[in-house]
Amino acid sequence: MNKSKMTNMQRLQFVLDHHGADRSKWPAKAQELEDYIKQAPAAAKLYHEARALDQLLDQGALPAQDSSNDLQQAILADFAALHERKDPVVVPLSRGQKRQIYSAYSRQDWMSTAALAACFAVGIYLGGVGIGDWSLDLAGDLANLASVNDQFADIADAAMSSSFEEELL
Amino acid sequence: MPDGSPANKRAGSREDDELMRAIAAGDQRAAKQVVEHHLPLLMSLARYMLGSDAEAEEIAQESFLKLWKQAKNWQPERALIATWLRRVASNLCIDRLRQRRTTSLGPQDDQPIAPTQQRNLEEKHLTHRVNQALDQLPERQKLALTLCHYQGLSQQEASVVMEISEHALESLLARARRGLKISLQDEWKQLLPDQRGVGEYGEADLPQRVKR
Repeated sequence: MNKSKMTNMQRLQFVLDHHGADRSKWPAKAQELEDYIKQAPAAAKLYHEARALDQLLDQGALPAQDSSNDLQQAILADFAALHERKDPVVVPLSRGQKRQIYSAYSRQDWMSTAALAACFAVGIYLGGVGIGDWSLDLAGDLANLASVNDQFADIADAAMSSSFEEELL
Repeated sequence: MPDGSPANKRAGSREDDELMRAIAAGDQRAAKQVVEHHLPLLMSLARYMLGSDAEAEEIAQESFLKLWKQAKNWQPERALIATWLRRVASNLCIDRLRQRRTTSLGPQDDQPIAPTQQRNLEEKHLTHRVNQALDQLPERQKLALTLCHYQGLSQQEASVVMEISEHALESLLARARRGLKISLQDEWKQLLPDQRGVGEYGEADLPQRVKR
């Protein structure tokens, strides 16, 4: 219905249907209907009916209840269980920054893995001393490895963004 | 409820983004903070929608589990945690209500939520009638009314939660009110002021018993 062609009574009906009788929730333009309600008995009747319905709805309000401590514990236990799993987790950095892949491994796990990798690299380097091509190959391999790692990060990023879009949008 | 000005929303969004980064990194304290802040809202929404404390707890737990899983994909400045959680919980509630209707189960199979014991029988009956009428509304109309009337969200906020336009939300609210006006006409007619008071446009002329 075209609101500009509505009679005052129709406008009032529209406002009460859409916003209820609480005048603080009415759009600014509808405030002028207050005078109309005061002047027209039929409008006042309509208004009081809407107000009675609102009061009735208030009657249906449930008593507030504190959420149980058990429930909070259960929710936090879900959180802990999820993070104890050693699945990779993408932590978004600030906007525009590239995401980094972290894992849920502990710092100690990382340290020992890094130490092992360092030993491995030093071993290869020492084994390769005197054979110049080997060290060059090693540098190339590491570069390739880094590139594959980046691609993996991009793929993971895209997949997770897409699932987020599906969930949120 | 926080004021919904753009500046406050941006601040809230930044705060939420930081919390979600911490949660994605496994920070228990951040998770606890989010649970303590948002659990009451979710419980309230689910209790209104489902009329059952037990089911509301399940919905709340499921919603948070989804949040934990989504933390790693949280896109900064895209949503507030409260909006996101309400949206997820709303969808879960609607699914349950639809499931109930297709399997012809009653409103709930556990103890229904009782009004406070101080209320007298008449008020209990009235509360029961209102809840019954709300249960009969289509799910999305009930959700719109719950968000706006019982959770105090503005129409703009509720429309974001429901992922619909404000006009669509207004339409749901109007249909819900019209439906309730018909199904509860015996009840609201009793709340009308006397004929003498009809012409008076005051606050004092409604029956005392419904005032809080």
